[in-house]
Amino acid sequence: MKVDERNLSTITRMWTILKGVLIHPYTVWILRIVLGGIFIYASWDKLLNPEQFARAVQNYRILPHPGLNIIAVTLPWVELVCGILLVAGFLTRGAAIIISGLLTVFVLALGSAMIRGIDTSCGCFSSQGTHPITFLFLVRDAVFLVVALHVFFYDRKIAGLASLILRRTIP
Amino acid sequence: MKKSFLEAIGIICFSVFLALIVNCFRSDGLPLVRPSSPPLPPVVVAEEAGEGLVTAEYVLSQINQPGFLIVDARSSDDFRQGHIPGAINIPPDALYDAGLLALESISRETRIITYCEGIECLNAEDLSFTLQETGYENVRVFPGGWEEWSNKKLPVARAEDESG
Repeated sequence: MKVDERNLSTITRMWTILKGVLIHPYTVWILRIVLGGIFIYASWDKLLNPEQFARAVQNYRILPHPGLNIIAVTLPWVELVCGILLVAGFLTRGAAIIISGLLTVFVLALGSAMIRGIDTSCGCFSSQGTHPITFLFLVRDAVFLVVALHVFFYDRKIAGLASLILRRTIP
Repeated sequence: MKKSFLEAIGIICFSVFLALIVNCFRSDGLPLVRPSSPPLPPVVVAEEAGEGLVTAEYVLSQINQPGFLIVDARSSDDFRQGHIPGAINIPPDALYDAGLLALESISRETRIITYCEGIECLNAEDLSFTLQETGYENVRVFPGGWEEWSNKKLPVARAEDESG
């Protein structure tokens, strides 16, 4: 019994330490910069090749045909602007909400394509991808989603554009 | 929380505005409503083929076209090593359970083309009959199958590339 209590106490202590590290402002700052960078990178090829991105979206066979172009035109810009805002530390909670929403949609779309056995490239980082989607793509997007939610709840905007402009750290 | 949602709406509006402006001025900008695809050509029957059969060139012209689905009736191993781009795999041993389940979300109006190893295999025809019994009316067989497709060096998708 005492051994169990000791184990429990160790686990609790470790969890407290881990949680402290995870929600530390600098950890969240790093996650925010990385997530923003990933979205800037992900948007770039789609911005340059909207037609190919529209075809990549079409291959998922989810959206109605007339709606493909508007998504292909606007989605990369939403990704780019959100990525820049996260890196800059400006309007980060709004950007993190949008990115969380996008990642939720991506996870659902990938899962749906896999269940239906659709053989298509992901279209995640490149509109001209030749690699068919796999379970790993799903896991990757799920991890990004957790990071985006973490940034949304714990970001304190340290070293962000907002704090530099306002010369203070926003609580 | 409310402030964050307002921020999100603002960011989306700004991004969409930016996207539309840039799309307007770029030379390769897209029309905002995607024009419907040119009318699908009727199922071309090769002169040497019989009713309900299509040629490799016809299959090639239909890859990734909306309303079309190519179904590979070979084994999963063969499919992984190479298949017609955009095809889904329904191996013979999975036809009656997982295979048809995979097709559940596919509209009955979808034009389906089946293929297997080549002219001598019967799996594509068997699959074609089963699909027609299930309610798919527009099912055709590509009799040349994988043998003809690879001999003609037409585009190939490989599931082995998945590791990337």
